[in-house]
Amino acid sequence: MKFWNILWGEMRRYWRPFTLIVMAALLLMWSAIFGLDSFTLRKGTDQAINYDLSVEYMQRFGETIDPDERAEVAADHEKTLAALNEAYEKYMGQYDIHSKADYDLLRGAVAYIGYHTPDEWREEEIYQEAADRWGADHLAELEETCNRIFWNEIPYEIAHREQVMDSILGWAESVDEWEQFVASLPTIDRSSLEERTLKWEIANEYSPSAEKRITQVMQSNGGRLSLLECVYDAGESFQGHYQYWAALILILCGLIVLPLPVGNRVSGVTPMQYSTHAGRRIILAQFGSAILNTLLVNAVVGGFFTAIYFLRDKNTLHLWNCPMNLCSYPRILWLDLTFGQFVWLSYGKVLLLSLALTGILFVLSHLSRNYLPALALAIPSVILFIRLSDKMDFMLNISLYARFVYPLTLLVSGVVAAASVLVFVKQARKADYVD
Amino acid sequence: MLEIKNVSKSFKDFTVLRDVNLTFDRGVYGLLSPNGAGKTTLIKMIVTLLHPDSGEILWNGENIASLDGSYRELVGYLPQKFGYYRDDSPMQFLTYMAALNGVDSAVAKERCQKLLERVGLGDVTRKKMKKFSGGMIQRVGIANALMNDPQIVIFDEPTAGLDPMERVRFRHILAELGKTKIVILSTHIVSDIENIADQVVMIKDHEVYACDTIEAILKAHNADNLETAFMNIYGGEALEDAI
Repeated sequence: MKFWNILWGEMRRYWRPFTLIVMAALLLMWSAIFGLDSFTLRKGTDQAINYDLSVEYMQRFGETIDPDERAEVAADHEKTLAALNEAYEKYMGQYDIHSKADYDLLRGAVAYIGYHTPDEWREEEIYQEAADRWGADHLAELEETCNRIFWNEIPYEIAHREQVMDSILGWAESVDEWEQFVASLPTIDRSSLEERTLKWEIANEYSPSAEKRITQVMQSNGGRLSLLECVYDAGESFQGHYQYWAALILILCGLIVLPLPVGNRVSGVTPMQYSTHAGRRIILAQFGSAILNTLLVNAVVGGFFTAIYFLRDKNTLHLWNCPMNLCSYPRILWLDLTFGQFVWLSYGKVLLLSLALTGILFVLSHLSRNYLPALALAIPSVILFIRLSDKMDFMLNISLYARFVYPLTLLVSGVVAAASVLVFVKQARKADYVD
Repeated sequence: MLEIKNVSKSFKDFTVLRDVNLTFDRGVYGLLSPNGAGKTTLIKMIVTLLHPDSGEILWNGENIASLDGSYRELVGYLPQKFGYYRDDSPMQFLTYMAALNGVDSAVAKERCQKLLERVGLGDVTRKKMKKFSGGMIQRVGIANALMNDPQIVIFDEPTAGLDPMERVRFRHILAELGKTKIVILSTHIVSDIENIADQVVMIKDHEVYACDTIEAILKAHNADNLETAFMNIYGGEALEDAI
């Protein structure tokens, strides 16, 4: 009971009004800089449409879509295309743009400009067709006008939905090719780069081990097409944003843990604490409260982030149980995780790193004779852990790192911190206290 | 009874105390010597902040190192530099120290209030200590040292910062404590202990030079007062210190 009294006393001591003000200020600052506006799954983008479609199809077909179910998607696409053509007729008909095919022709003709000399360009079939239809002198100007109409006047629910469905069906074809490629992998002569490139254009991007992993993912997915491409996007978006908040957690751990032990020494309280009944056991209470405070910081900042992230994009929660690896070419996660597990992994990683940092800063603070050396040691430590946290996010995309280096990094951080604290506490309990 | 037996202490190659033997029983003990003689080191060993290189310190026959917390709860200590949290009120600070001293939280507040009244701070218990004068801070330190009704009370240079009135008040407290407890008062100011110490311990050349009543020390050094005896014993060393 008495130990808990001391622990509670120490907990309170870490939370001075100044600390609370700094924490609130940093939370507001982080919200302003890394807050709502920067989420990539916001409305009005291809990704948002992709996401909405994915959720819609997930409810209809489950997490993946079989080849026979693909016909339904194609039928949907036909309907959407018809609606889009009507929109072209309505908004761009006056410019002789009556369908998606017309608009594609115009854009294609103008796009050729950048890749050819003027003479070559005029010889291109697509250019000649467009020039015959709209007049060569007005192509660029007309394309600009139509672009403006496309982006500003045609409802994006029609325009973007068609685009995304088109890409989904295109992707389906890629998956067919992909399946053929995977089937042919054992017969590919790896010494022949040319052959590999011909077989599959991305062959240069993958190492043999990565190819193996992709094969695994394909097989675990039953070789079926997944419409949940955005699970990876959601995970990436979550991780991309949480990394900034992870930095805030680590900074706050430093701000909270560092001042007390060195402050006790500077103010001369330490010898009085050591000469009481509690004696050197006060160190354990201080460490215990530092750990509790770190848990609290993780809960407050992590909770704050979680609330604004998932309240902003509530639908992301639909993806909670969806595997991250659903043929999300060309990005492959080397751990088989659902989006929810990925989120927990991100929280867990930051929690473990912040606990390790707390242990290390606790020892450094105790060993410092005043604030300056403490800061000089703490600032590089916090920066190191922030960098480590960022680097670990990328480790999941690389085979060796995801399987071994990622867990090893967490283990080493934890062991170094725990060993530092244990050695320090053991020595401090026996050592002389010299001012 | 507190016994110090053959205690020596060095820091690296520098010997601070050599073969110290002392016995403390009920009463006020003045620990008197020039600065740097080893008073604070001796006190820190008694309060377990430092450990003897050799020898042992016994409380009622048991080594204090083995008694650990049960010994420290018998000790009240006011260090040379009393450390406190500037943003705390004396009540908050003492309540915190009471928890460290193992005082039950149910009685801690009442005890802290009484102690603050005893040192004349009863009307400023909620005021932040950063607004206190040096003397007021020192009085909080004295209250803290008396927190758990200690059997051994140790004051290291306690009168620094106290005005004459406060010194008188402090001496009264010491005299009262000395009736039932061991009170060790470390100082290099002779007048602090002249009127109240039952015995005076003098350290010279890292050893205990004398441990006797004031009368015996005066007689041995053929002096009228303790200050003269002090100058006779420490001579240039004390003069240098004074200058």
